[in-house]
Amino acid sequence: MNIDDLKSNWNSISFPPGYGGVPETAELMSRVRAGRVSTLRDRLASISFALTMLCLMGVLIMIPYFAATPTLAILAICFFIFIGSLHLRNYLRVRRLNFSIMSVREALAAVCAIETSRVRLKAIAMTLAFPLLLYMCFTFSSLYGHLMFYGCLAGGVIGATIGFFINRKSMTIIREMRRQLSDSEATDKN
Amino acid sequence: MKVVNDSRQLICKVCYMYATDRDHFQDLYQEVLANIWVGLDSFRGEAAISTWLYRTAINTCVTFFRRHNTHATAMTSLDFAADLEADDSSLRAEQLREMYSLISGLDKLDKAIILMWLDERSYDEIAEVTGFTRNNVATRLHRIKSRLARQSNR
Repeated sequence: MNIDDLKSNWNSISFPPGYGGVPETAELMSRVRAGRVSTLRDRLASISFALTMLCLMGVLIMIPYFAATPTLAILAICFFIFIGSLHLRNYLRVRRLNFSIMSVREALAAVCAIETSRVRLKAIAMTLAFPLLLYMCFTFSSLYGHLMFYGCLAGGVIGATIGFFINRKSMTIIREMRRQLSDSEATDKN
Repeated sequence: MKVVNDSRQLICKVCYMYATDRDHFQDLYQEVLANIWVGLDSFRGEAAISTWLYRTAINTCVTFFRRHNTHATAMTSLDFAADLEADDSSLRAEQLREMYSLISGLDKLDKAIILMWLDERSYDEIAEVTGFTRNNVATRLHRIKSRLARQSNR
């Protein structure tokens, strides 16, 4: 069978949605209308929003320390404001995604750009956070004892390890998206 | 709801084209319905409803990356789609299975083009949905068909 034969028979092939255990469309649509179905876009937006709120919490947590350690407090607050604003920007970009009005290439490029931005943001955050964390460890240990130092260090190492593996998975997805986009751009040039 | 009911076949075809297994198909189907619901407000009627549905469904499938299965391989798990063929000669079903297997090895943008071409959409409509120029659609389609012919003759 060649592709032209398949085309001539394409519309005779039926794709009943009830086949293979697919939920009935009416049931699915009632769940969609009730807001009980979250899309990939919703999940990405939730992650960015949650991280923005975490940064806001970081700012609020550091305010009481301003009296005891003003330098550390200022550095940490600046860090959280900077990173939080980048997360907020990502959140707004995801919310603006509308697959109904974009072409396929535009959609793929937009999602690739958002994923790339998220990976870069993680890299920037980890780069800035490491010296800040060290400074925080030494400052808190001098104020509250050595155990605080080891606790902060352990938290930093665990967080960095988790972040490294999550980043690696994201990079695989981004490479695949970029490969498909570059294939389409190569066709344009030819 | 009427829009969705009238276009179930279209949505199913798109999801089958991009799904690698039944769970993936169900995820895609659900995701497409959700995006159709969300995007209904933005439909102004400038394009045909079918173009709008293709755009929404294909964009959803193309951007839906499963983190535990990111490599597109020539999967044969679209075999279940071949079972839907109503006219049941075993040779025919086998040929369909082979063709689906070859199509599943295409990349996501090529799948979008071949799917719309199989559904007898015009080059202009395919170009509008995919974002390629009309000439690029023709070039890519020619390459896809040549590739499929070469692979099926091996």
